[in-house]
Amino acid sequence: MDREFEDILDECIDRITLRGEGIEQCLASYPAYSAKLEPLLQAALSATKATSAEPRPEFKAAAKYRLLSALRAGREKRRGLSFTGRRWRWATLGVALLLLLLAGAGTVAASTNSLPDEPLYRVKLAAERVQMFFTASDTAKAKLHLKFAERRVKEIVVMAEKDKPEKVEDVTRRLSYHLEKVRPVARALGEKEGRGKDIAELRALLQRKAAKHRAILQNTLERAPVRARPSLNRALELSGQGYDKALQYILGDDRSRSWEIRPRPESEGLNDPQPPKIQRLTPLISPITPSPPPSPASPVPQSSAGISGPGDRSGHEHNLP
Amino acid sequence: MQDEESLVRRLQERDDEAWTGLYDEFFNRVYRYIRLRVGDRAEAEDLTEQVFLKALQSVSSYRWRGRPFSAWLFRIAHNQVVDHVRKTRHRRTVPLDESLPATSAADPVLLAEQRSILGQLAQSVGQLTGAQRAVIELRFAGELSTAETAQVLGKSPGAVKALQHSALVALRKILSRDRDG
Repeated sequence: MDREFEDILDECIDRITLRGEGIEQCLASYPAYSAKLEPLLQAALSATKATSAEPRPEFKAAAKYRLLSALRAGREKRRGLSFTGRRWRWATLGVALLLLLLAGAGTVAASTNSLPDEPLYRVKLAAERVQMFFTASDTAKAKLHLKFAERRVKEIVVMAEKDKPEKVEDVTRRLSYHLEKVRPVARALGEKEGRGKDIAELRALLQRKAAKHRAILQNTLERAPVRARPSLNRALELSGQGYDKALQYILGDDRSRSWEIRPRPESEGLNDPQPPKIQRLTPLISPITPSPPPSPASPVPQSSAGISGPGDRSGHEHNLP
Repeated sequence: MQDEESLVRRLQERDDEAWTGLYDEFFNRVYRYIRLRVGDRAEAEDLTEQVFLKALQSVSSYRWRGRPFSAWLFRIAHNQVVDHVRKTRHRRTVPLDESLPATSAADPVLLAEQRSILGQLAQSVGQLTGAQRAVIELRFAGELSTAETAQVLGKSPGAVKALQHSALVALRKILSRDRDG
């Protein structure tokens, strides 16, 4: 009897929640059970309402962009481009180290001012990786990521002024990467007791940088060539989200909205299922952090009814090209 | 089944269209499932994004055994949530209300009331037992079928139906109590 009723209830829930039928239609199909069914189907409707939150469209679109960028970066690796790329990365890192040792600070200092469309830019990035590698604490790493984020913003400005939107997009991905790396530190600080000074420092730094970078990018947007504006808008949007996220973690609430995303002058919408410019991108970095293969048996609390599978999160550094 | 197997193959080949389709089909559902568990909007968004990035990382090791792919995706989501809840257990949660759907009410006061009611409903779901809640979250927020829910939870479809039944009975009691009290 119970089993039969459970089957009927299940069928009615599918009809109501998935097929959009009304409760009355279902009750009419099972008049003998209608008195027992009706209150439970009302509760089911309540449960449906309670679970009807939606993500913000702009976040959904930005997350899709990041997923597709990661997808393409991974595909290039699979095609074997990465083998050369990886060797090149290590070679660049080696060269940077060698330059540091042999030529002293001069060569690397020269690369510090190089731009994404110049040969020394790879040396600059390699030098940054070396610097990051030798930075010990997470908080110091986070501050260094913010420093590099500022460099990326300046590079975006120059690339936009040079009317090189593809370079703006490349650098924007690097900017997003730096801001993403700040998040776990902000989260960890926000959760720890007795780290008030670190929290205050990082929060102030984040707020300062967020305001400064917004002002720089918005100012550039107003005078940039038309062709560069969509990618500049993307930079504004992603950096805004990056800072907001980090600030939310460190504040633990919604007081952190460091800037509002301004409407973009172009008609191109973030909600486009697949914006053409995403198609054009050839990502150099993957926004995801490589982590060990997911464990098929992650610990699951009692309440989770023995579920296991991939899903652990990690905050490891990963190499930029 | 054939279609799903072919979809998995295309996902493993990192086909843009397949991933876009998967994203469009599941992003909101995974978000709703996670949001109900963690409460905070920003964290729910972040975790949802992580689920898809994790799926991208892990899909090459996925072996097709005739089980719904959605169950695999929601297992990732579930483990993300479990991991997150474990790390942030001591933190307060943010009420689930500000991103609940805007109803037809144009009056801000009425809208706020409606959102408050929806927030209370979400809290009512939170009072169910772990297993009941898991079923409600997967069936109603994740919009999974009973069979898919059973796959995610590692239970039989019959057990899921029984849990669904008991969850709705309990939910009804909680809602009546809240209404009366």
